[in-house]
Amino acid sequence: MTTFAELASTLLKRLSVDWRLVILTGVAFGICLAVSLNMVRIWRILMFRRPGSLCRGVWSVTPSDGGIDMTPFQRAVVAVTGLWAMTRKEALYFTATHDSDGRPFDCRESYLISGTDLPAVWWSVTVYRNLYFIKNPANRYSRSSSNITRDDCGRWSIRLSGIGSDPNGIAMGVQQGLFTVILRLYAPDCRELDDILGKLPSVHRVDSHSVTSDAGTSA
Amino acid sequence: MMSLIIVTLLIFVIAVITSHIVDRAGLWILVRMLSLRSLAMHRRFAGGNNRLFLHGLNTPENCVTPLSVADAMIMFCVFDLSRGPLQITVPLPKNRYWSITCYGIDTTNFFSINATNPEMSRATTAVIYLSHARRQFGHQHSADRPVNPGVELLAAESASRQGLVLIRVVLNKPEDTEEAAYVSTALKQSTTAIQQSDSSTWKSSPCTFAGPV
Repeated sequence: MTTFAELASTLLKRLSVDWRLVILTGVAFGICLAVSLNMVRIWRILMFRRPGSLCRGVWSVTPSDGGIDMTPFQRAVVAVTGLWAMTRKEALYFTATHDSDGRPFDCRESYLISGTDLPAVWWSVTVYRNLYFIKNPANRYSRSSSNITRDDCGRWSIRLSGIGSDPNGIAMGVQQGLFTVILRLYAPDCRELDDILGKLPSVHRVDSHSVTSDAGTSA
Repeated sequence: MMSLIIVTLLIFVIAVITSHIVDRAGLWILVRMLSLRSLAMHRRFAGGNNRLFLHGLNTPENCVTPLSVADAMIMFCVFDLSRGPLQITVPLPKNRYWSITCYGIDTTNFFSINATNPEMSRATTAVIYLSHARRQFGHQHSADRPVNPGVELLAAESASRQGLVLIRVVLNKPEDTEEAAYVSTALKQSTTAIQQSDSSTWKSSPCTFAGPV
């Protein structure tokens, strides 16, 4: 390193260029480069998906969350969006921010999440707005494998709506805004990640009438 | 012309090195800042380092961490291993899923154990022996033998002196107050113990909690 610095210094002296100006310009460019690089990364996350994540339908998952092998940027994303995430062996976190038609989740609309049991010891579906629970009169922020009502075939449907009065409902209150759904799988069968990806529930936007009529049949 | 090429090349090399350093340092600072802020919030609840706090169920009012789980009873401890190892004793609730996870200051989940681990099948109490190691190996292992029947002694090594231990116990029906009371009664028996400077004695602290959980 010293040899390189000496060589550069000698060279700059011969060329009669101020070395301080060269260093300052280099540092300034370097800072601009780092800032631009991270802005591009953030834009990619906002517009597309997180680095290292897998996508299937509306769901995306980053299996490396919480692990030692996370990149510094992945670590930063986890620190901002969900500190203290568990490793893939302990838990998988599937995130959905839009319905099956690609429309972002909106609190004013109603949605139906339907599926069958997932290959994990325990799973839950939780709704968040701005990374925190959505206040509602029922104090019900999620539905889990241990309290969800299934039909005779083992299928279940969770209704997300303003009131959320259905047996498997989650209320989103009266406030407006976008929200996020997280499907947590505790102690997932990681050997079968493809199997898990194939069994992920569907998410459809429905109007309030169809939500009411579905309530009697699927629960 | 030659001098222009050399100067441009030098500027490019300096820019690439600076960019790399700024990028890594920025992310490192961001992670530690958020992590330390979260640890401070947890510490405030617990009333200090190396003390277990039964937080109960997460609600919109008491939620400490973004994207928290809603159906699990939460207990945590901010550890500080600068004065020596820490021992955490947790009675394990039966017939429900639970997990004990330890995180370093860089958010790495370096230790985890849950109800499905074969070694925990007969355990009624878990004892985590948490010590500081210079490097994070990411491994976990059971200590040589159980201390008492039903007690499983587990060793965890943290690369950072500070971090967080999170204990999650899933409730079948979060709105069922009886179930919540049963689980919280069991968890309130948890303790932490810090090894004293003479290395032979341990100073024990009971689990704390705020009001009924």
